Amino acid sequence: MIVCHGVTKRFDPNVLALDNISFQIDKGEFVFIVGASGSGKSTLVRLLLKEMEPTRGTIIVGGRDIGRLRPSRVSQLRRNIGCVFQDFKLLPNRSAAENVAYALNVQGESAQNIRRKVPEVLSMVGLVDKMDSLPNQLSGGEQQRVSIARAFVNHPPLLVCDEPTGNLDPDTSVGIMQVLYSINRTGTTILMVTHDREMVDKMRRRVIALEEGKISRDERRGGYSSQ
Amino acid sequence: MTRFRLLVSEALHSIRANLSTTVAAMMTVFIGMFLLGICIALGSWMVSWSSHTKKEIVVNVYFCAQDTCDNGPATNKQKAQTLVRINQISAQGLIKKFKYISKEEAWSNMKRTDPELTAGLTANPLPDAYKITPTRGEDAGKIATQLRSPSLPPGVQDVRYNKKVSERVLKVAKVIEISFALMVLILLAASTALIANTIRLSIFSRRREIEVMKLVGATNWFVRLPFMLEGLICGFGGAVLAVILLSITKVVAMPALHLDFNAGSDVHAWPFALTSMLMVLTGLVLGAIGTGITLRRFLKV
Repeated sequence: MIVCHGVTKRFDPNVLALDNISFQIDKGEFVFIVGASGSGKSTLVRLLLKEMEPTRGTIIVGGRDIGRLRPSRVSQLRRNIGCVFQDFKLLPNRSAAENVAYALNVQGESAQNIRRKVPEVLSMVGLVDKMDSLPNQLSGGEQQRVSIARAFVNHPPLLVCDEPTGNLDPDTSVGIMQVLYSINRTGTTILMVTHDREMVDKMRRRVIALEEGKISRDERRGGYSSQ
Repeated sequence: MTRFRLLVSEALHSIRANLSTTVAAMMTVFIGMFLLGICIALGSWMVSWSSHTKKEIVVNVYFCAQDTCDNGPATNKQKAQTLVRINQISAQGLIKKFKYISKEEAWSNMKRTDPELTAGLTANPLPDAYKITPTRGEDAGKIATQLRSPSLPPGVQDVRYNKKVSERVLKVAKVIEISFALMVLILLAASTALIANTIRLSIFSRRREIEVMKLVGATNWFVRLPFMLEGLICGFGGAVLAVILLSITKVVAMPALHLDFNAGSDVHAWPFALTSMLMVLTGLVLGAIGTGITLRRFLKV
């Protein structure tokens, strides 16, 4: 699903965010990216979304070298990558259903399909009864579920989550992880950047640890810290 | 169709969210376009008037008559020599047309145009002459100088053109044309800058939507189009308001103020419909340029 080969990202001569990292993530995997602040986790996410270009190296997503992608095709790439962020990134003046429908609208989905898909996905994240609520009428956990619903409504093969539980209490975080786990079981690859030690240790999935821009550890069933 | 509706609704949403700035920009376009309309009407009238006046500038070559020169009236040979010189100047493209007017013809013309003036005269005091119409009014002086140099042709008493009037008219016309062009340019630049600024504020106030749009895979054009529409609506709305005010001014204010610009049958401003179309088109172009500049600078998609 994702192949990174010798990826380096240098912001200026003195700031090296990623230093020659290589890894491969297969279809259907659930992978945690862990590391201290400034270790290059978010830079990796931005590179995968082609928000910036690597200084060196190749990134292949879904079999496509995204470095060779024309700017006009970037939207197609992003339609195949669902994104979930710590700050939810919901539109405050639109209801939960409208926030989810927005993604489909933007992608040119028909009104009929939108009417069918939105309740389906909101029901999957357990928010079918709050479809008409505005984001400020929802709790943090509920807002993150709307954000996940929006990311998954189009059933993308890859979901990239940048600290999705960073703003949530432990109980709510468990609920969010359950939603992500159920999405993973449908065959969707999930790459999750996190600081949530407890969650990583409990889930026992593949862990890629970054340290000062380098991969310090890549374990199949790892914990937050090395054993 | 759904996408088009979404684009329009995004543009309207953007205008609503940013209403005061949009209205301010629209009002500036409105004032700018109204002044542009007045400039076009007055300017085109002035240009028409100045070209009408320029057309009236002629160079007269007066031949010697019985009493006006020491050597007596001009001979046919001398007239032919003068004609050769006129033809030489004409070959340079300075002369539009010229005509020989005999003293009899001049006399009958004068009797027709100024009967009071000719009533008291017993004999014809007018000389034979060539009436030369320059290609451009500005060339009258050049033609007269060439005819006079190195000296007046033999048999020619004088070469005259309505120098003072023509030079003043040409100077005024040039000043009017330049100031008209400058004013329009300044107004267009100000309107474009204001639309650009409105769109910049709009981009700022909608940065979250833009971020989400990009995140969920909107194409570049999908992100840009609502702003383009907003800019076009700004330009179009302002221009339409200006056309309405200009037509009210034309129909109500001008007759009430007894403003009459009648200066000859061939002097007229551009038709109102053409001016209105130009204003609306300019409004749209300004909207597109203003938005384009801002999108290029501030919306990296």
